[in-house]
Amino acid sequence: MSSTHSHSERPAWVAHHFDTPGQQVSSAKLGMWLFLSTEMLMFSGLFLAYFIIRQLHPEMVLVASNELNKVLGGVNTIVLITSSYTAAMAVRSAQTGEQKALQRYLLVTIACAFIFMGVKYVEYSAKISHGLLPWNFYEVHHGYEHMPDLAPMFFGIYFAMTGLHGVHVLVGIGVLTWIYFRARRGEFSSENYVAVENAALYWHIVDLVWIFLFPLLYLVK
Amino acid sequence: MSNDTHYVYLNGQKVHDVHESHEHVSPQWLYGGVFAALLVLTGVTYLVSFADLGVLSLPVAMAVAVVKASLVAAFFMHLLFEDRFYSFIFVTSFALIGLFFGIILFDMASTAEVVEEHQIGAPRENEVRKKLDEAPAMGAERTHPSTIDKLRNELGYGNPASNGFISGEEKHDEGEAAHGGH
Repeated sequence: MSSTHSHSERPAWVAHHFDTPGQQVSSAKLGMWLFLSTEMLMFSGLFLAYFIIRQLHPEMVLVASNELNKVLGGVNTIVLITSSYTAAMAVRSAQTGEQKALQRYLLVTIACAFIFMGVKYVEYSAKISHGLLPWNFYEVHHGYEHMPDLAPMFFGIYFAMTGLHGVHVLVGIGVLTWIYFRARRGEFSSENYVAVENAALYWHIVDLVWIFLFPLLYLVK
Repeated sequence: MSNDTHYVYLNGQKVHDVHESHEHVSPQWLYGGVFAALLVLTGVTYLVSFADLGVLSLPVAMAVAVVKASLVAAFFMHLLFEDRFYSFIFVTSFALIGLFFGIILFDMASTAEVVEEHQIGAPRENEVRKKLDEAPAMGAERTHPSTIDKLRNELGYGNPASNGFISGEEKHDEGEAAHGGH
């Protein structure tokens, strides 16, 4: 293959089966975009289930969704949008070789992710204590006698969608933390930062899914 | 490189320099601007939900969400400045999702006929559930399948297991079905 390459031309971080660093970067990004496409397809199944339930039982969805806290949902939306901004700025810092900024932006992104999970914990606790659960875990508590019979259906799709999304947030925390520690070790440079970029791309998908989840679950009209 | 006809490619294009790359660094103000726009659009999302748009409520809310998602994809995920192949892959997943939604929702549109034919479905379920409301609170029994079946039979509707819907005994002749089978 490239026996004409001298070792000084080839950075150490380029795997042997790539001719150039650009090919490695391109390959890594292609892999991530293919994976992100499958993530969208996975969430689309739950979104379709939601639309079908909403189509068949519009009144039920309207009444049941009213129990969700619109303020907390909005707070989480702003938290995720902010984390998306800081993730993008982290990638930009990596591109310009600003190591300290990269680390700080990654930390803020991770902090936002924790805030999101904290708010979700508060929301889930409230639902559980009020008996607003899927399937036959649903209980009619005092003050909730007005709820429609099929409300468990709505809460099923609510917990499934926000639950799957929450799992993705947790995985994102893990991935971003890993990248943060690699950044602290000085592994990234303005040439070699595709790992940061890929982690940020994953995180943007988490934000993207929530951008659709929020109006559909919390702001039914 | 050497005199042999050995070419190096990147994203389908020949490159002459090993370190050639097509990076684009967006300025800070661009990220800040998109962030501000996203916050404003979140406010719009609230406004749309509190406004009285009736049937348009859902499409408009989805349109706002699509704009927000496009901003995230184009600028935060950098698709606007990247090789167009990544956009192609991403957009393809949405095209496939559109196909998925389209076929199923289209099929559901013809569900109404089947529902009419076999006396199942929401209007009748609402009558059944109204009867449930008249009954004393039963706890978990309330939504148990056997309770529902009993009430359906009382109301004279039969249930999918016994009116031929599942076993497929009934003939699916449109002329006969129009007059109702029960």
